[in-house]
Amino acid sequence: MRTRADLKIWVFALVVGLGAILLNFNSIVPKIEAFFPQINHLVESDLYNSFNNLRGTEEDFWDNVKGIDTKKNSDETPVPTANIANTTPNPITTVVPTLSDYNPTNKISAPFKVQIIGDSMILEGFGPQMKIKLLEYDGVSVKDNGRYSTGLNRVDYFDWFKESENLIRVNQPDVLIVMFGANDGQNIVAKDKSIGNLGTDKWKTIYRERVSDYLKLVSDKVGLIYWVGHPIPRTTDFYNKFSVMNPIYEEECAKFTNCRYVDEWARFAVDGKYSPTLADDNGLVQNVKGSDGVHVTVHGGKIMADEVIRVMKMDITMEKE
Amino acid sequence: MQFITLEFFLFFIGVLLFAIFLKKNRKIYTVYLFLASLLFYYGFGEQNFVVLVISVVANYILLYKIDQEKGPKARKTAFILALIINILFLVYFKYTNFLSNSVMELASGLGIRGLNLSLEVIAPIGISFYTFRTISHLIDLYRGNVERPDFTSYATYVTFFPQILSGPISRPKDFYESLNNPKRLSYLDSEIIVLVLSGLIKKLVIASFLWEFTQGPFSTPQSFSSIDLIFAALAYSCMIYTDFSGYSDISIAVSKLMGIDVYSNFKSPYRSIGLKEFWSRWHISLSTWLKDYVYIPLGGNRGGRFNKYRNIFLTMVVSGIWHGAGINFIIWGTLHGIGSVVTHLISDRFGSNAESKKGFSILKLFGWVLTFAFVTFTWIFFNSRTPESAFYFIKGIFRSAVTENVIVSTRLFIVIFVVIYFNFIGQKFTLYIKNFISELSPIAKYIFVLLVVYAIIKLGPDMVPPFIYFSF
Repeated sequence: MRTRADLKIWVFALVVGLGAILLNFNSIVPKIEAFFPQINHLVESDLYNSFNNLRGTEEDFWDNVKGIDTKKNSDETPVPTANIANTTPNPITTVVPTLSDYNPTNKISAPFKVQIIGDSMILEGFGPQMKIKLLEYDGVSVKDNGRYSTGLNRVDYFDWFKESENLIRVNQPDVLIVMFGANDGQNIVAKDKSIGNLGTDKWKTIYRERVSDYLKLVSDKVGLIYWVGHPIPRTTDFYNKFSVMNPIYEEECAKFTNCRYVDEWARFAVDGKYSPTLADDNGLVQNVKGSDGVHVTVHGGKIMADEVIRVMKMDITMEKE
Repeated sequence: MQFITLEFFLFFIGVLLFAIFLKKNRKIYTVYLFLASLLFYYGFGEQNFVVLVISVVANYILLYKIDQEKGPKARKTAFILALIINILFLVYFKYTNFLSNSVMELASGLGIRGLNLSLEVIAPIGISFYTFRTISHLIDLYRGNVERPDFTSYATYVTFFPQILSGPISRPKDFYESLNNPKRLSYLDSEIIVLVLSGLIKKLVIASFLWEFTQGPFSTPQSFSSIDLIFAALAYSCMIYTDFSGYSDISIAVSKLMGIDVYSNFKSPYRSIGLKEFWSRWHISLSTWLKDYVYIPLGGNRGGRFNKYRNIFLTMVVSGIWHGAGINFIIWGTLHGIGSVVTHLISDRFGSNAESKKGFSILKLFGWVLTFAFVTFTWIFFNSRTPESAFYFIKGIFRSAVTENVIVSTRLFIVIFVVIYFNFIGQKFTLYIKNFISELSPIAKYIFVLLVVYAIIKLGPDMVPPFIYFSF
């Protein structure tokens, strides 16, 4: 009986093994990581070194990011954060697919296509409300793509650079709405593989570079970029993280003629402090944050979306259907 | 630290290694389980942890008070007081935001602008589940079904880490019987292996796959075609089943590995003919809880048919309210209440022969289609964030401005079919696999598990969304 059972298991093993190998999916390592998103949190802890080899693909990743001379950059000493803010941005030559007559001083009309990109904020609360609000306008079409537990930090876990390029190529958006950062508050690896510990100047420098590289990648592929900053969060932990990230987004965005930063922090703060409830444009007051104090409720999502549209209307003529 | 994460895996392996040795001594093992459960829950934050500890300590004092009271009147008073405290505790944490938002919305509707109650209460994770455990203990003690345990046993019952987040809601008597059982821990049991593998397949492969087809349509139903919305509703129906029953399978397996026996929480619910049968197969630990602690205290089927139907209806509304703080959940519970009453009316009028007859019949097929369609329809309210969104979804099913189908695909159709089909053959299939594994040598068992896990990893989508029932 035992021999027969063992024979069965080996036949089964062979079938399962061959079946799995024949399936033409992505490589196994990113999938294992996908099942263990908590690796992100472990990386933050003392276990970091144990998992350091997971970042082996980082260099390859940068090599593959099109349009950026990573080899050259990786040899350079990172520029201190304070100096970056004072440097004169390089002029960016943009290729505008549809809004070809775009000029910051001129208003642009529909029809146009919008692509929304980001982490869980795009999947819950903000993203859906942004899409719903945009679809109320005449001639606006929207694609939204969000992924849990992702951002610009752990590019070895999920490659938003590559994914953004793909989405832009396939969907051909005129406007890109971007929101990252909720999962980026962890140690970061530079192009030279050195580690920037969270909360240090080195971390800020590396993350700033990451944001800048992302903008360089997408800015010449879309007409306008709206980089959505984080609303003021409930917890001290995220308050400290977003206080560092938001200025990076704002400053880097300002270096690109077709990028607008949407300041949600100010929209959600009351007298500079966190408020659990807020009134929307119609005066309706409701809770704005979910249980984690970062993700927004439906009401909070509507307020965020209204703010983005308010900023969009400075560039684009938008009329409701 | 949630299930199906590296953190939990490492935590559990560590806990299990010591548990094997400590199980011999009941007292030490109980303390060990309690401490492991506290450590597990502490991972969800200090505030959650403090609320849980307060609940455990306060409830044990209340249990002690009920137990000490000798006179029936004083005992009843202490019991009612304890019950009210627990209900208020749950209402405060779970429904304050909903109630204050409702008041502010009502004020806005009445033209009172700017009313800001500025309230925000954060519901501790798993509060609905562990409060139902504390209430169940109070009632069982009052009814004399269970004796007052020592504090550590009680605290272990309430905080037991495999079940605190999303159940199953074990009964105290069953829990203590398992805890006191001197049986050695078994970790190569074929039933446990089947439960773990089935849970992983359901959650990581099927539910994660289906999620991709539900997220968009339920967030912005306005931008999807009628056909897409129908398939999204079917996909969600299959997803919530595989997600929650997958979670329950893993939870039960982990409980069993720690020596605590738990009854099955799902028994192929989508093969049901009629809502009566559906609720005897879906989230069984909750439906039996509601039956024992809500339906029967309300009067059950005593006092005539009207009272019976009223009690069924009210029990289902309570079920809706328990599931979440929102109008959608109340609508979901109310619809199930109405549906259950209609099912009982038909059953009382014509008898339930159609359900019990073996073999195929047109009547059974009609009953099955109607039940599955009704359950799927009600999930639209369950999964929509607002009534407005559910309205758009239902409206879109009948008439949508969008004509392009982006959801419908052969892959989706096959997965939906497989999930439904396994509701009919699943029990036989599980038994077959269980027998197959039990015949294997220990080494062959390891190889089998590793290969299946490998296949799960290969088959699973890149992104695993959070468990649905963690929100409750």
